[in-house]
Amino acid sequence: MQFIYSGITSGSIFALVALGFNIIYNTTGIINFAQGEFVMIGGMLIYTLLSIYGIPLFMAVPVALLLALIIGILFDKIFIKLVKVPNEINLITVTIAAATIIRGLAMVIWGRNTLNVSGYIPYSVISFPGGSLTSNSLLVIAVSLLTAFSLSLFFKKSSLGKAFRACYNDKMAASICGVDVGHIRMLAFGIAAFLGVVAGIVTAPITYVTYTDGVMVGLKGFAAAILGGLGNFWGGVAGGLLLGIFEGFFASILPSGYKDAFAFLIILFVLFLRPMGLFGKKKAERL
Amino acid sequence: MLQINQVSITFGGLKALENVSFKVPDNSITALIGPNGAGKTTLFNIITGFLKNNTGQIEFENDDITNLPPYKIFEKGIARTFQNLNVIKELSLPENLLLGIIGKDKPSALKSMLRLNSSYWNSVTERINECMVLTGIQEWQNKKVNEMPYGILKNLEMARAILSYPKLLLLDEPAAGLNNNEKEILIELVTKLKNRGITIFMVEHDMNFVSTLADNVVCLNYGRVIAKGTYQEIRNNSEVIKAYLGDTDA
Amino acid sequence: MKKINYLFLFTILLILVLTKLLIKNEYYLSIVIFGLFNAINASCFNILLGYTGIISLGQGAFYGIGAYCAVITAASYGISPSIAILMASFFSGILAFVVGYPTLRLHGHYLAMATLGFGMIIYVFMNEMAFLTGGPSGFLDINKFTLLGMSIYGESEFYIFVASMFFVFVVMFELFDKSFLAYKLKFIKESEFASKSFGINIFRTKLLTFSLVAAITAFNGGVYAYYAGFISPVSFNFHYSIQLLTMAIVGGVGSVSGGIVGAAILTALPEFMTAIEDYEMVLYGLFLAVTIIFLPEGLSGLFKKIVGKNASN
Repeated sequence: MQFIYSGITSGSIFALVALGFNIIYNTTGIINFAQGEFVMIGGMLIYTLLSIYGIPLFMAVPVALLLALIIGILFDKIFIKLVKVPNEINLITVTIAAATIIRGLAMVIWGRNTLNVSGYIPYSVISFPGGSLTSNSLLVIAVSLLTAFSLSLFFKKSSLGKAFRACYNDKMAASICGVDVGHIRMLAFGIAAFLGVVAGIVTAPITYVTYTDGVMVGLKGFAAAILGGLGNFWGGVAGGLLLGIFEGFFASILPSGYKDAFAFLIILFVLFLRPMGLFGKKKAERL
Repeated sequence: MLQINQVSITFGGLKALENVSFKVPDNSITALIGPNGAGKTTLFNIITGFLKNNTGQIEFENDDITNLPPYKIFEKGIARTFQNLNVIKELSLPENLLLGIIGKDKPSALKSMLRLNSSYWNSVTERINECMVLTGIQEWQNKKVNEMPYGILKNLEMARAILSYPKLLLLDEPAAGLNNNEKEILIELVTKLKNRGITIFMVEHDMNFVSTLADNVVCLNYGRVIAKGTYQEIRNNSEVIKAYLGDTDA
Repeated sequence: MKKINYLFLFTILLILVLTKLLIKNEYYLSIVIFGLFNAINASCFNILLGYTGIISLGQGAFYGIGAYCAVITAASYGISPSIAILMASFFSGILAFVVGYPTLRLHGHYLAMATLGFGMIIYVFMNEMAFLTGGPSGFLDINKFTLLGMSIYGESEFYIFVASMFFVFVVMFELFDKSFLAYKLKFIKESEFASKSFGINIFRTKLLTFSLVAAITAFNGGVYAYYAGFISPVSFNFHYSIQLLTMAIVGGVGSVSGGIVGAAILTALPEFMTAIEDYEMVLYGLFLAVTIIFLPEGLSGLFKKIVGKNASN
């Protein structure tokens, strides 16, 4: 049973990353291969603010989140907006390029070593039926779910959120109705980076931070998004949690080194049997 | 030639086609007419294998072709053009035409790579040139595809289909978007094809065009055949008049 | 049928011969050899992406499978290395067929995810099955490479072998590019709808292309393993697949020269930058980004445009 708890912990991070993928995908049709790098940047920023500049946590977090928004917006302005021939392959590739640049810069700035971030709350172990969670893991789960809920409220209730959804349904119609599609896309990258940085901040005390961290978490987040149905908001959350639990389960019965392989094996099966994901709807094709 | 038997298809509860049956006789020109949304293109896509019908059967030369994949249906001798053009912008005009040939002839890959069948490829070049002349697009052969006018692109699609020596040619709204002059040239071309022994089945809105060319007309409305016969018969059919002029929301 | 570009083939041959004659330094020769391996892989990637429209982020895995299978079978069953490489290549082709069967029905993002997932699985297995592969620290027990009883050893001898292999590959690629097959694949890439309507069995064509390309990549991997004398999983991971993508795109997809030009530049690049080694990754990413943004047809496309303009003036 313990695997469920550890699975939910890592799964809630995958869920946040999957949400980032979905928000960008819905507004732009792009799969952002740099989504995982935002998570790594989150860890690096919080490390820098806390350990190097000695800023207290309650100030460091807002500063990191503000920086995240700026990074996301710059990301759109520098990479996405400039692509002359924005076909699917070119857009996939430019985000891969951006991810490589961010990772490379992180290595230059923060070095190759693993950086240690101390826990935000006092360490304790809380027992649950059939297992237990550390206080840090509980924080990860709570923050992730809270973020997902507030984001869904934002999309449902605020007028800006409604503009996002209009863009998703029909870009052309949205722009005719006065929604600035370019503006929304920029914000989508801002929010995606924000989500990544949230994930990076909460996991930093558990996993610590290395410049290469973004690759795996990004790929698993992508896998979670596909599992739940690309573009489906709660599907992404459910996909993340499911992927985390599957992975925890395999790690509990097999040598843990194989854990990563099984996550991708599940994805291959899902893509084969249900390419639209577990919770996605099949899109009608216009011939 | 082509026999449609009781074909039905539903999309999420909506009956797009319901018990559609009719025949396309050998060496004839048959036109499928009907208001927008009547199910004409849907039927085309079922015949060519892009959609699977729920019930019913399609026979081609007494051969059951129901639900075969598109490439197999083509191999039986059915070629088509598209309502929304499907030409490849990245390739030149003759290169585009090559598609009509290689799908049919299936030349040997190894021989072609090693250039052991150059006489075959010379004949291909000849066929392509001949067909460009026939369809009146030869002077465009060195132009880029995205610089060509709509009418020329439609002829390109027609040429591509003709090059595969089809027995049955499906034309999806061949006259749409053409000016009167281009329409006349098209009428001449279609007549020529018929005289070469190609059976033609087309979806068309332009009634002048249909009246000039079609031997038989089938009229669809709301997914059902409401009339079939010669153009004269159809024109006076009260159901058809109602479908076009009446309370349709199309 | 298009004319074969003999000038291009001759230029390649000339460069290969001149390299042998002019470069005596073993270290530089070894970089050229690595460049040739990369050029074959990048060209294979190019056949998939540039011709067929298949985005495969798992090519590194096929390269690794070729390398590992070739050395493991040779070491455990005493098979001659050249036979072992052929077997590895065949096995990899079969595996690509099995993997491609479910995944090649997917497109775009989904296909990228599936192939990437496959690459990850293979990478994990290379690391974890230490009893077979030696795990993360690598596989050392590699026999000497022999071909028809002749032993091939050292940079100079290997250069001749790898350069010959490369030249044969380029000739085959050129023959393919100028035959109708290149068009058949480009039809599929640009419009699956039209291709299907004109008798092309898209799925079968894609599956065969994918398998054949995997077999060539694995063959290349087998030779690489014997040349390097040591292999470890990091040479075949996700990053390597991304490097191949970078080479193909920087060079220009959809042309014979693209992968070769890209591989030449990106293999040589780190050598000129040993002083700023830390920035290698950043520069790699910048190269890729700048190409996608400003030169969608890559350097070969740029070159063709310049030549074309001069010719028309």
